[in-house]
Amino acid sequence: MTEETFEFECPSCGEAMHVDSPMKRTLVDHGCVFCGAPLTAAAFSTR
Amino acid sequence: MGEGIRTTVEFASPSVCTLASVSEETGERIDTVATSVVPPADQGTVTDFRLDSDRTIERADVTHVISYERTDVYRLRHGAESACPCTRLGQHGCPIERFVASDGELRIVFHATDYDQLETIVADLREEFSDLDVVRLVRSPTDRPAPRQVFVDRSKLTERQLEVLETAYLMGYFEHPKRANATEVAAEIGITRSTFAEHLAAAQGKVLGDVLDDP
Repeated sequence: MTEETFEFECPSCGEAMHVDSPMKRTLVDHGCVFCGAPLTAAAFSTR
Repeated sequence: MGEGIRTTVEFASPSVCTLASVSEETGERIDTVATSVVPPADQGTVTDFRLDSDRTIERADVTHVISYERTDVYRLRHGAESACPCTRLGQHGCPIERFVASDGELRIVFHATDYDQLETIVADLREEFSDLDVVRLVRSPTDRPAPRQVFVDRSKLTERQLEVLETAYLMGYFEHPKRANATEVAAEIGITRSTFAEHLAAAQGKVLGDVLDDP
């Protein structure tokens, strides 16, 4: 089974990277790992 | 132990790492590296790396260790104040899963314990290396067992034991089927077969003691 991958782009600092579903939940819970800005699901898109 | 965060980072500038610079100079990919301390501890660490290239590396901090066929093993000596990405990750206690230097660019895959540690590491690396690019963050558990690293103190080996071990390894003595037998490896080093066997047994005993956590 292939884990779903998301493209994340922080709306505050513009940092972008690929993340998997568990990491997406972590970022939504904790905020951007670069700038700490709060995040919603809108910051993630599927390829 | 938590599942951790598998983190892939890239550095575009070869200035962050000597091996990235070497990869740019030689046009060769470097992905086989091993780091260990050298006594006394305040003299820092050394990193051995393999290079398949006809070009000779002439750098003050890099020495040639051994050649076999088209492979050369070089040793990079880090100063005690070294601030390369791998050293910084080591200071955070992060296991490095993968290291690739190619065309002057460096890609490292490491494991952060959790979000808080990842946040700290990213801030630390970004402060030191402005061209840090976090490429990928993965939390999914994998089918592979979690990496379990042990510290192998290579300084326990004498120079001859290390030479025997390296030469035997590079010549394929440990492969199955063997690419070289004991007589051939001994001849390459210039010692007798029985002396080779003695040094090899002593070296294996010391290395395996560390691997098996036998003090």
